[in-house]
Amino acid sequence: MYITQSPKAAFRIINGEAVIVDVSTSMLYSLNSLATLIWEVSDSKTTLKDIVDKIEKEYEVERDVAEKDCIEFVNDFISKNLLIAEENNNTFG
Amino acid sequence: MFSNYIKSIYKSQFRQSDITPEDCLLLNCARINADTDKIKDSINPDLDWAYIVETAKNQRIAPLVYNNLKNISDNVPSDVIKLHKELYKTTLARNILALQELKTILKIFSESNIRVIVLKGAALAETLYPDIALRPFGDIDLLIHKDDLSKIDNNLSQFGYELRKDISPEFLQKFSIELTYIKDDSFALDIHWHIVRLPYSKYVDIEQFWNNATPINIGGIDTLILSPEYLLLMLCLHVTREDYSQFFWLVDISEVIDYYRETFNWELLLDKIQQYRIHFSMYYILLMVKQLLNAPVPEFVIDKLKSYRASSFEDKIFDFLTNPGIIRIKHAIAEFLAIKGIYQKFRFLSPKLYPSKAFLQTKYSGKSNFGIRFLWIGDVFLKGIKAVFQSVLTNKS
Repeated sequence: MYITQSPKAAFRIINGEAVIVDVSTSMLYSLNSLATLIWEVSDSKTTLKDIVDKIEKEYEVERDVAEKDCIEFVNDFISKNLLIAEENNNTFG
Repeated sequence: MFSNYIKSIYKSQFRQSDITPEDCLLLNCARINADTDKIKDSINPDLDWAYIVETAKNQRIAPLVYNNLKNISDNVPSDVIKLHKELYKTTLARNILALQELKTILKIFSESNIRVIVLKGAALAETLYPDIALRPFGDIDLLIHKDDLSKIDNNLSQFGYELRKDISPEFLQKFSIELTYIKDDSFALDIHWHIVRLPYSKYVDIEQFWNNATPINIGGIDTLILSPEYLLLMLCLHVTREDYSQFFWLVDISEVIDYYRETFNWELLLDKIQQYRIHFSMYYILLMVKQLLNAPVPEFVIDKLKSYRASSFEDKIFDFLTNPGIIRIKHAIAEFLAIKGIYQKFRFLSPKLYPSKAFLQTKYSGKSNFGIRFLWIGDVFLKGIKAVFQSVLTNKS
């Protein structure tokens, strides 16, 4: 399962945190550092499992916490059409 | 808003004490590295905050005002901070979208080997301003070589850009300096091949802008921006052309001077001012940014430009015409008066008074060759009369 940024999203990293704009609605989303990390590695080359590994390591949290935070953000942004799940629509498929 | 100060600077009657407390706060906030103590000192309980919010919005300095007020918010009504924050966020969203679009355009041009200099808002937001949201811009302005114009149309149309055709593109290519492309009825891309119109353009060698351009990487694509001295010249020419209608252009000029203060080549600038015959405009613009925004313009530059002034008779004519609404016309008259010698004056005016037959045929298509000269003279005459009346009426009121 790979996650990639949608072409419907424009973004900018400002002071280490991503600011995302939905191209179709101009809605602005300011991400915290955890969400920024997920956003930056959503490059269609990193698997969701790798992202969770990264969170677990960088934030020194339990794996289930990292997994829960990651799924929550990814699902939210998929529903907003700002992230795209590749291979299938199930985020942990 | 600031037109009264601009007018009093023109009349050499400007005093810092004439600035209203509200404008004083706005001026203190209208810089990147604003002086926090000065801002705090200019806040008092009697300020007209509605005026401050409205003016900051209209003059497009709201993001800067927000940036400077947010850290001293205890002294500022929370509604004011909230409104400015909203304007800041709107600008941020718009600029992120515009800069993303810029990346796409630069990529298209790069793949077609079209050299580009990024101009105005996009260039300034990417370089001078530490936060892209601090410099609002609506359109993207790019400079390309005129020879490359034929290459861009197909490329841009593939990405949803349509050439604006309310004025014939052929006419614009022959006699103007830019074409405008529109995407989704909202986003405008202005493609320039020169930065000034006639009569100034014949004094301004655009190749010098290219030869001195500075490399920069925007979004992973190598491109160019103007070098500091040429950037300042372009901004000043722009602000004059637009009659000072937006105060944030003066903020840009101040920031350019501040940002490059250690290396700025003032002698080169003075040379170019002389060559372009724009000393009159430049004197006032640099005086304005120095007096209103504390831009670090060296005294010797102001003194040198002041010495280029026209005669006292010409000054009187200028004073008569002093009206911020028609500064562009006034500048043109002032520059004309300052040119020495009848032949040089004629050369300066000739493109305006006696344009080419091809220009007139395109402008007045369908009219007889015999009549087009008269139509043009009539148009110029009416514009002159209108400007004088406008000036007289404004001076009276």
